[in-house]
Amino acid sequence: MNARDCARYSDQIFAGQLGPEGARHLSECPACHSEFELAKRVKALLGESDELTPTGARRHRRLINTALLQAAAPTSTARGVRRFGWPTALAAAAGVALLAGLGTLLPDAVQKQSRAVHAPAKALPSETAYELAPGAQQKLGSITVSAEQPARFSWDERASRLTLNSGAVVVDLPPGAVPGFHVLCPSFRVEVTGTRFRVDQSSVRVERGGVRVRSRSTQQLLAELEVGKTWTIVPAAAALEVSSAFAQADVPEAPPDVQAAPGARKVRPAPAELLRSARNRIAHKDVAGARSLLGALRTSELTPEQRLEADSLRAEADLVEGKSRAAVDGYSAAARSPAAQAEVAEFAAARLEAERGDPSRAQHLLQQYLERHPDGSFRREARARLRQLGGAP
Amino acid sequence: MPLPQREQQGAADPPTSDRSAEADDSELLDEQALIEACRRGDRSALARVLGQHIRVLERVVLRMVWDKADAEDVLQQTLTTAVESFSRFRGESAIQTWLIGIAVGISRNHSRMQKRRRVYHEPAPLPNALLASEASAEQQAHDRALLERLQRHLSLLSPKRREVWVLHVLEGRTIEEIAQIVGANQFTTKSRLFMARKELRRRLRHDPALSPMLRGGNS
Repeated sequence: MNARDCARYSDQIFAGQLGPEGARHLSECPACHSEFELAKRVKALLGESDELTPTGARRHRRLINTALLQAAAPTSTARGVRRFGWPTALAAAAGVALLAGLGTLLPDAVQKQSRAVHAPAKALPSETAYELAPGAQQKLGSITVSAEQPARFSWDERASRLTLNSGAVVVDLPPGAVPGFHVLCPSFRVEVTGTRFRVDQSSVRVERGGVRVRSRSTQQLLAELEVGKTWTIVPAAAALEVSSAFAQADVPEAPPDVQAAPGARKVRPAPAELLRSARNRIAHKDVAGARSLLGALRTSELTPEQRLEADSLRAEADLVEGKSRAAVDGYSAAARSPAAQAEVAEFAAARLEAERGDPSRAQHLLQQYLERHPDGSFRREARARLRQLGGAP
Repeated sequence: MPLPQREQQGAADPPTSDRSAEADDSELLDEQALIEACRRGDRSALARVLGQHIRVLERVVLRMVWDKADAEDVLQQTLTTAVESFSRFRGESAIQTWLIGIAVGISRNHSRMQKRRRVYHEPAPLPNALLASEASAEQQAHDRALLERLQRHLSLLSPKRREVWVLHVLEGRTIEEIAQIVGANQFTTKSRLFMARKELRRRLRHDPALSPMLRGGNS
């Protein structure tokens, strides 16, 4: 038997179409036989039950509903979807909903197609989606939307609503043209009459006219901005604002630890949920978003394990930003936790220090790790690294 | 492009009567109508299609990422991406193949992201939910240890090789179908599978806990 035979009969053996020739090959080829047995064993270990439990069916429904909401309705999905945990959903759906009182004005027929990409597929039937490269402009009636960063937004002419899904845009609105025009962001609302301003998911800068910024959930006045002024939401406040919006979401099945009692208006996500979201944000290199979520945890009561994870995530955020020195310090600080997993942070600090090229400090940290955790999970690697660095293992 | 074998099986059988042929035709028309509705963004059609395939997707994703929580995140993103991009589904492959392709791509990205985080997340504990639930606690512990070791070996393969191995050996997908899923030609797919097998077998042979599972493998 040779590799060609193995490849020829592979479909028969593994895709459940075993014919006589395949069966003969399977009985004669020890490599295929052992792999076939391994697959059978692994599948048996993993469990091959075809029964769908009621809980599983509910979870599936929730996932599908969330996907439908998330993909099609950015304003509502900003408040209740889970995509890599809810705050990633928040990032995806952190749609700035521009409820534009544009009256009967329709999108301008003349679109600057050179840089704007028309992508109606991603929007609701009544919406038209746009994707703008930096510097591109899109006319929507008397409103001009220019992208400062790559921006995705959709325009719903029926609801007179412009929804910014990502990026930052400058909105230019002639004075008096659209009374009552306002911008809804995940955590705040910008009221304008006639002005030119830049908005992204966390800040507003006025370039002409004036705007008022209100809390989206409480309508409380947060700022009144004049020309040249910039307002930025406090990260922790943003997390809380959005989390409250999340709790009010009209989603069939919210994640269990966020599900509020009937009638509750504000529920802060559980620390575990915030941690999970922060982790996902870091995985997507959204360090600012992760930091804002971690900031919101500062006032929460955390278990030692959660505190350790929060500290480790801060260190990892430093690492993503290229601040390896700060990351080592962060991991070292996290390692002081009484939680059992502190060992991991301690070794992370040592390994990172070794990779940073500070041998004496790395040696010290590795030796410290081995002294504290002689049976630790990373003892072998620690000893090997110590040997590499010339220290006694 | 032919439909994957798995989904052709029913259609390939000769109809037993005119009635069943009509039923097949009507099902085909229904499916076409369903796909068209999905392309138009019809939510109920999308929910129906996703509901038909979510269990397969969940299983594939779970075997790709080996972590229940991560798998749910990947699955959620897969479903959302599918809804968002259904209008671009050209019907050149079966819907399930297309959906699995999305899931595999997202799992691959997820694995790449996770790689950077191994500093403090490795080894990932294997959740009980991954294991056959009817086993005793002792047996589950043993199974978990075995699966964790296998997971570790698999995680050392490159994502492209790993996904081909998982799809073929654990998921029972044909080479042709896998080629469609991963967007490669069949030659490349076979090559990845060959390399994955070779590498995995080498690793398992040196693992005292797993080498008995490979008894007789000498290639």
